[in-house]
Amino acid sequence: MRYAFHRFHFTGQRENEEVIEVIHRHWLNITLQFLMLFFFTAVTLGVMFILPFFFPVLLGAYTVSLFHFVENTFFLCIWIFSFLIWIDYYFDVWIITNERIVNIEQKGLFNRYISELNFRNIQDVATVVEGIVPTMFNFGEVSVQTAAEQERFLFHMVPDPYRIKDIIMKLSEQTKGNLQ
Amino acid sequence: MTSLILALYLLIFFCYIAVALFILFHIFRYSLKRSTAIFSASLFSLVFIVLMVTNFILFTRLPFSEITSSF
Repeated sequence: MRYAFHRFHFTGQRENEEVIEVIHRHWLNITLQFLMLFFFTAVTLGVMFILPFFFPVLLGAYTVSLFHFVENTFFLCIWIFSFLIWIDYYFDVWIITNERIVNIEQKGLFNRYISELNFRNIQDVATVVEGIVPTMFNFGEVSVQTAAEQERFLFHMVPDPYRIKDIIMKLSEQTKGNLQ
Repeated sequence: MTSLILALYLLIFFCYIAVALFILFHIFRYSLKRSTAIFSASLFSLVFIVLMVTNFILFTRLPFSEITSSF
Protein backbone atom coordinates (compact mmCIF):
# COMPACT_ATOMS: atom_id res chain seq x y z
CA MET A 1 0.00 0.00 0.00
CA ARG A 2 2.02 2.96 -1.13
CA TYR A 3 0.57 6.36 -0.62
CA ALA A 4 1.73 9.71 0.63
CA PHE A 5 1.04 10.84 4.14
CA HIS A 6 -1.45 13.59 3.32
CA ARG A 7 -2.72 12.66 -0.16
CA PHE A 8 -5.83 10.62 -0.77
CA HIS A 9 -5.42 7.10 -2.06
CA PHE A 10 -7.89 4.24 -2.44
CA THR A 11 -7.64 0.56 -3.30
CA GLY A 12 -7.89 0.11 -7.06
CA GLN A 13 -6.68 3.59 -7.92
CA ARG A 14 -5.04 3.59 -11.34
CA GLU A 15 -1.55 4.81 -12.10
CA ASN A 16 -2.33 8.30 -13.43
CA GLU A 17 -5.69 8.67 -11.78
CA GLU A 18 -6.08 11.80 -9.68
CA VAL A 19 -8.53 12.10 -6.81
CA ILE A 20 -10.51 15.31 -7.21
CA GLU A 21 -13.10 15.06 -4.48
CA VAL A 22 -13.78 12.72 -1.57
CA ILE A 23 -17.34 12.93 -0.30
CA HIS A 24 -18.70 11.56 2.96
CA ARG A 25 -22.24 11.87 4.20
CA HIS A 26 -23.09 15.15 5.91
CA TRP A 27 -21.76 15.51 9.48
CA LEU A 28 -25.33 15.68 10.78
CA ASN A 29 -25.74 11.99 9.95
CA ILE A 30 -22.98 10.81 12.28
CA THR A 31 -23.87 13.43 14.91
CA LEU A 32 -27.38 12.02 15.23
CA GLN A 33 -25.93 8.54 15.68
CA PHE A 34 -23.47 9.77 18.27
CA LEU A 35 -26.24 11.57 20.18
CA MET A 36 -27.50 8.20 21.28
CA LEU A 37 -24.01 7.27 22.47
CA PHE A 38 -23.65 10.61 24.25
CA PHE A 39 -26.90 9.88 26.02
CA PHE A 40 -25.70 6.47 27.20
CA THR A 41 -22.36 7.95 28.28
CA ALA A 42 -24.17 10.65 30.25
CA VAL A 43 -26.39 8.04 31.87
CA THR A 44 -23.34 5.92 32.77
CA LEU A 45 -21.55 8.92 34.26
CA GLY A 46 -24.69 9.94 36.10
CA VAL A 47 -25.10 6.46 37.53
CA MET A 48 -21.46 6.45 38.54
CA PHE A 49 -21.61 9.66 40.53
CA ILE A 50 -25.22 10.09 41.59
CA LEU A 51 -26.50 6.57 42.31
CA PRO A 52 -24.20 5.98 45.34
CA PHE A 53 -25.87 8.96 47.07
CA PHE A 54 -29.26 7.26 46.85
CA PHE A 55 -28.01 3.71 47.34
CA PRO A 56 -25.07 3.78 49.79
CA VAL A 57 -25.01 -0.03 49.69
CA LEU A 58 -23.21 0.36 46.33
CA LEU A 59 -20.23 1.68 48.25
CA GLY A 60 -20.26 -1.33 50.51
CA ALA A 61 -17.30 -3.58 51.15
CA TYR A 62 -17.63 -5.82 48.12
CA THR A 63 -20.26 -4.10 45.97
CA VAL A 64 -18.07 -1.09 45.16
CA SER A 65 -15.62 -3.17 43.12
CA LEU A 66 -18.48 -4.86 41.26
CA PHE A 67 -20.05 -1.44 40.66
CA HIS A 68 -16.81 -0.04 39.19
CA PHE A 69 -16.28 -3.16 37.07
CA VAL A 70 -19.72 -2.82 35.52
CA GLU A 71 -19.15 0.89 34.89
CA ASN A 72 -15.82 0.19 33.22
CA THR A 73 -17.40 -2.48 31.04
CA PHE A 74 -20.03 0.02 29.92
CA PHE A 75 -17.37 2.56 28.95
CA LEU A 76 -15.48 -0.11 27.03
CA CYS A 77 -18.59 -1.10 25.08
CA ILE A 78 -19.41 2.57 24.39
CA TRP A 79 -15.89 3.15 23.07
CA ILE A 80 -15.99 0.14 20.75
CA PHE A 81 -19.47 0.98 19.53
CA SER A 82 -18.52 4.60 18.81
CA PHE A 83 -15.72 3.44 16.54
CA LEU A 84 -18.02 1.01 14.77
CA ILE A 85 -20.34 3.94 14.06
CA TRP A 86 -17.39 6.02 12.87
CA ILE A 87 -16.18 3.22 10.57
CA ASP A 88 -19.63 2.92 9.04
CA TYR A 89 -19.67 6.69 8.42
CA TYR A 90 -16.08 7.27 7.35
CA PHE A 91 -15.75 4.31 5.01
CA ASP A 92 -19.01 5.11 3.21
CA VAL A 93 -17.51 7.37 0.62
CA TRP A 94 -17.91 8.64 -2.91
CA ILE A 95 -14.65 9.37 -4.69
CA ILE A 96 -14.63 11.58 -7.75
CA THR A 97 -11.49 11.22 -9.81
CA ASN A 98 -10.52 12.62 -13.19
CA GLU A 99 -11.72 9.32 -14.79
CA ARG A 100 -14.68 8.00 -12.83
CA ILE A 101 -16.87 8.08 -9.75
CA VAL A 102 -16.27 5.33 -7.21
CA ASN A 103 -18.98 4.51 -4.68
CA ILE A 104 -17.79 2.61 -1.61
CA GLU A 105 -20.39 1.45 0.88
CA GLN A 106 -19.30 -0.09 4.15
CA LYS A 107 -22.13 -2.07 5.73
CA GLY A 108 -20.97 -3.21 9.15
CA LEU A 109 -17.54 -4.75 9.48
CA PHE A 110 -17.85 -7.58 6.99
CA ASN A 111 -19.78 -6.15 4.05
CA ARG A 112 -18.22 -3.77 1.58
CA TYR A 113 -19.86 -2.81 -1.67
CA ILE A 114 -17.92 -0.98 -4.39
CA SER A 115 -19.27 0.31 -7.67
CA GLU A 116 -17.85 2.72 -10.20
CA LEU A 117 -19.20 4.88 -12.95
CA ASN A 118 -17.21 6.16 -15.89
CA PHE A 119 -17.92 9.75 -16.91
CA ARG A 120 -18.64 8.79 -20.52
CA ASN A 121 -21.70 6.81 -19.31
CA ILE A 122 -23.29 9.76 -17.53
CA GLN A 123 -26.51 10.97 -19.13
CA ASP A 124 -27.95 13.30 -16.54
CA VAL A 125 -27.26 14.63 -13.03
CA ALA A 126 -30.03 15.78 -10.67
CA THR A 127 -29.95 17.31 -7.21
CA VAL A 128 -32.63 17.08 -4.54
CA VAL A 129 -32.59 19.16 -1.36
CA GLU A 130 -35.89 18.58 0.37
CA GLY A 131 -37.04 19.81 3.76
CA ILE A 132 -36.21 22.50 6.30
CA VAL A 133 -33.22 20.78 7.91
CA PRO A 134 -31.50 19.81 4.64
CA THR A 135 -32.03 23.33 3.33
CA MET A 136 -30.61 24.93 6.47
CA PHE A 137 -27.62 22.61 6.61
CA ASN A 138 -27.21 22.40 2.81
CA PHE A 139 -27.24 18.67 2.23
CA GLY A 140 -29.26 16.42 -0.04
CA GLU A 141 -29.16 13.81 -2.77
CA VAL A 142 -27.31 13.79 -6.04
CA SER A 143 -28.69 11.37 -8.58
CA VAL A 144 -26.63 10.40 -11.61
CA GLN A 145 -28.50 8.85 -14.54
CA THR A 146 -26.26 6.47 -16.45
CA ALA A 147 -26.14 4.40 -19.60
CA ALA A 148 -24.41 1.61 -17.72
CA GLU A 149 -25.81 -1.57 -16.18
CA GLN A 150 -26.59 0.28 -12.96
CA GLU A 151 -28.98 2.92 -14.27
CA ARG A 152 -28.86 5.27 -11.33
CA PHE A 153 -25.98 6.27 -9.11
CA LEU A 154 -27.10 7.88 -5.88
CA PHE A 155 -25.19 10.14 -3.52
CA HIS A 156 -27.24 10.10 -0.37
CA MET A 157 -27.20 12.88 2.28
CA VAL A 158 -24.13 14.61 0.85
CA PRO A 159 -23.04 18.14 1.80
CA ASP A 160 -23.30 20.93 -0.78
CA PRO A 161 -24.97 18.80 -3.47
CA TYR A 162 -25.11 21.66 -6.00
CA ARG A 163 -21.33 21.95 -6.04
CA ILE A 164 -20.98 18.19 -6.44
CA LYS A 165 -23.41 18.24 -9.36
CA ASP A 166 -21.37 21.00 -11.02
CA ILE A 167 -18.13 19.02 -10.56
CA ILE A 168 -19.65 15.88 -12.08
CA MET A 169 -21.18 17.75 -15.01
CA LYS A 170 -17.91 19.55 -15.74
CA LEU A 171 -15.87 16.34 -15.64
CA SER A 172 -18.47 14.51 -17.75
CA GLU A 173 -18.38 17.24 -20.41
CA GLN A 174 -14.57 17.24 -20.40
CA THR A 175 -14.47 13.45 -20.85
CA LYS A 176 -17.01 13.47 -23.67
CA GLY A 177 -15.17 16.38 -25.30
CA ASN A 178 -11.89 14.44 -25.18
CA LEU A 179 -13.53 11.39 -26.77
CA GLN A 180 -14.86 13.35 -29.77
CA MET B 1 -18.40 -21.37 40.05
CA THR B 2 -15.39 -19.03 40.15
CA SER B 3 -13.71 -20.91 37.33
CA LEU B 4 -16.93 -20.65 35.27
CA ILE B 5 -17.03 -16.87 35.83
CA LEU B 6 -13.36 -16.64 34.90
CA ALA B 7 -13.90 -18.69 31.73
CA LEU B 8 -16.85 -16.50 30.70
CA TYR B 9 -14.86 -13.36 31.33
CA LEU B 10 -11.91 -14.64 29.30
CA LEU B 11 -14.30 -15.43 26.43
CA ILE B 12 -15.70 -11.89 26.54
CA PHE B 13 -12.16 -10.49 26.90
CA PHE B 14 -11.04 -12.20 23.70
CA CYS B 15 -14.20 -11.04 21.93
CA TYR B 16 -13.26 -7.45 22.81
CA ILE B 17 -9.76 -8.06 21.43
CA ALA B 18 -11.16 -9.62 18.24
CA VAL B 19 -13.50 -6.68 17.60
CA ALA B 20 -10.66 -4.23 18.26
CA LEU B 21 -8.42 -6.05 15.79
CA PHE B 22 -11.19 -5.94 13.17
CA ILE B 23 -11.58 -2.21 13.75
CA LEU B 24 -7.83 -1.64 13.42
CA PHE B 25 -7.73 -3.81 10.28
CA HIS B 26 -10.45 -1.72 8.67
CA ILE B 27 -8.77 1.54 9.66
CA PHE B 28 -5.43 0.54 8.14
CA ARG B 29 -6.83 -1.31 5.13
CA TYR B 30 -9.45 1.16 3.93
CA SER B 31 -8.41 4.60 5.15
CA LEU B 32 -7.95 7.03 2.31
CA LYS B 33 -5.19 9.00 3.98
CA ARG B 34 -2.30 7.56 5.92
CA SER B 35 -2.40 10.43 8.44
CA THR B 36 -6.04 9.65 9.25
CA ALA B 37 -5.26 5.95 9.61
CA ILE B 38 -2.40 6.55 12.03
CA PHE B 39 -4.27 9.13 14.11
CA SER B 40 -7.52 7.15 14.42
CA ALA B 41 -5.75 3.84 15.07
CA SER B 42 -3.57 5.44 17.75
CA LEU B 43 -6.51 7.11 19.44
CA PHE B 44 -8.59 3.96 19.42
CA SER B 45 -5.75 1.71 20.59
CA LEU B 46 -4.66 4.00 23.42
CA VAL B 47 -8.08 4.36 25.01
CA PHE B 48 -8.95 0.73 24.31
CA ILE B 49 -5.80 -0.57 26.02
CA VAL B 50 -6.36 1.65 29.05
CA LEU B 51 -9.97 0.49 29.36
CA MET B 52 -9.06 -3.17 28.87
CA VAL B 53 -6.27 -3.09 31.44
CA THR B 54 -8.48 -1.37 34.03
CA ASN B 55 -11.29 -3.77 33.22
CA PHE B 56 -9.02 -6.73 33.81
CA ILE B 57 -7.65 -5.26 37.05
CA LEU B 58 -11.15 -4.52 38.32
CA PHE B 59 -12.21 -8.04 37.44
CA THR B 60 -9.32 -9.60 39.39
CA ARG B 61 -10.29 -7.49 42.39
CA LEU B 62 -13.87 -8.73 42.43
CA PRO B 63 -14.76 -10.62 45.63
CA PHE B 64 -15.77 -13.88 43.97
CA SER B 65 -16.34 -15.70 47.24
CA GLU B 66 -18.97 -13.17 48.38
CA ILE B 67 -20.58 -13.03 44.91
CA THR B 68 -20.78 -16.82 44.50
CA SER B 69 -21.97 -17.36 48.07
CA SER B 70 -25.07 -15.27 47.34
CA PHE B 71 -26.13 -17.76 44.59
